[in-house]
Amino acid sequence: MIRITHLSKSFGSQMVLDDISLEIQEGELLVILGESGTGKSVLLKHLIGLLRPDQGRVEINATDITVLPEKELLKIRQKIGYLFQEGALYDFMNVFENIAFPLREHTTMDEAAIAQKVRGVLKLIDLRDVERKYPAELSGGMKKRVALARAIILDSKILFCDEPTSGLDPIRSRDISDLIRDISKRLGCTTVVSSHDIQNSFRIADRLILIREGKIAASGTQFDLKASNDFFVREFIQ
Amino acid sequence: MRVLNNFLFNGIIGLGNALWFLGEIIGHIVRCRIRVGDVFKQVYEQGLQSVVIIALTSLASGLVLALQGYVAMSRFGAKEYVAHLVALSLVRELSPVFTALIFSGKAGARITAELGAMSVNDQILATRTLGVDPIEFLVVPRFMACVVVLPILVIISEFVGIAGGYMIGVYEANIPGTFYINQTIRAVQYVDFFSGFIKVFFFAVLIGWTCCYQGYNTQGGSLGVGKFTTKAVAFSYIFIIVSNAILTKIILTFWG
Repeated sequence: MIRITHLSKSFGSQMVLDDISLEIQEGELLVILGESGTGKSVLLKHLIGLLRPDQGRVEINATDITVLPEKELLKIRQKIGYLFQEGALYDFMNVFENIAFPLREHTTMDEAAIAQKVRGVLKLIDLRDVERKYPAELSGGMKKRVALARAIILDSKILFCDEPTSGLDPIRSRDISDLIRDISKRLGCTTVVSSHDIQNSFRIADRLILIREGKIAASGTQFDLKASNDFFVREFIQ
Repeated sequence: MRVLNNFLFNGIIGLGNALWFLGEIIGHIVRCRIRVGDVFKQVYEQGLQSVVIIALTSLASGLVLALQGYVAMSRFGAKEYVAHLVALSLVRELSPVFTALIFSGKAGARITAELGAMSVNDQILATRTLGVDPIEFLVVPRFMACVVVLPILVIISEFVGIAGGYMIGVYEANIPGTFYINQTIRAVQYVDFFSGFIKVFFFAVLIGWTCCYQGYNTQGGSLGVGKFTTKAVAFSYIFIIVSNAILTKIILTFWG
């Protein structure tokens, strides 16, 4: 379980997260909604310890990661998959090497086993004949799929996805959203997705939260949000 | 006054961060957290990229030094000492400094641009999210490669430069080839190589440190990559020139 307690973060005089408290249950798929620049990515970065809060705690399986040194965080992160907005694949590695990288770093698997595992994950994300291609040769959607494969290759039980549909056309956006939900449910991952893509968020989320001016403006299922009388919530989801 | 205060404050913070970064690199090296395979890969890439231009520059330096030396020394009837002039100038001063300057412009710029592009594309952050230390994976191999490659390039530069001097000495000044080589061997003492290599080591550390630090901290998209790369090369040049003056004074004071 992931528990966020009274989390606040400012950059200079700008308060980005303001006293956020939230619990994410095991196996749940939570989508963080909000306008651009409202702190969705900042919240995700706190969840994996890339940013330190000014106040508050982030507990992952009862461990407060906000007080851990970087060396300890590196160990915790091995159990978490993180999908970056643009994929963040290594330019100097091909698709196979990118996906195999975490296995080579953190397991003692031999090359044959690594190859088998990588091919299994490529099949899961429905990509073929791309193993030897470099990120520069891939489309935006393919890059995100490969990045997703790299994020789940260590059988992580926690998956964070930062704006997975940004920059994609509606069909690719739907594909990648469905893929995230499919993988999340199949692997039993606790998944947190940040997005401003309302349609796809409603398609995949077990629960959604809407962030406004650093605070949680609304929380619940898509039906709860649709039934909300709050002007901002109604305006945002329409 | 306020602008000056901000400038000083930012300067001190920047220097502190840069020193902390160097401490991190050295800490990794001391604890043997070095990926030898990646270091070799960087050595190959950085060395290969710089060797031709450094050889050409050194050849030209040797040729020009010998030509100028021959003309000047002939006036005093001392043209036989051209070999001394060329060898000592190259080994003690010109090869270390020229090679370091060219290396920072080629390999150093490449290091900053590579790390900078990785930084703005979130690849450095991604390394952390994958549970891998980016200093160990991305920075230490590049830094180590600078320390390994630069001395090798300086040796190449010295040999090629001396060969250039030899060509002028033998074919222009009509100095016998064996005599020229013997004069060169006699001119260059152990201490000359040693003083040159002390400088090279410092230059390598300065280039590796500056270029890795600027690349690692690059912000601002593709424009930022250009800006930080230019900054890295400019800082490297200044550090090389200034540290060369200081080191030359120290070396001459202690070893003459």
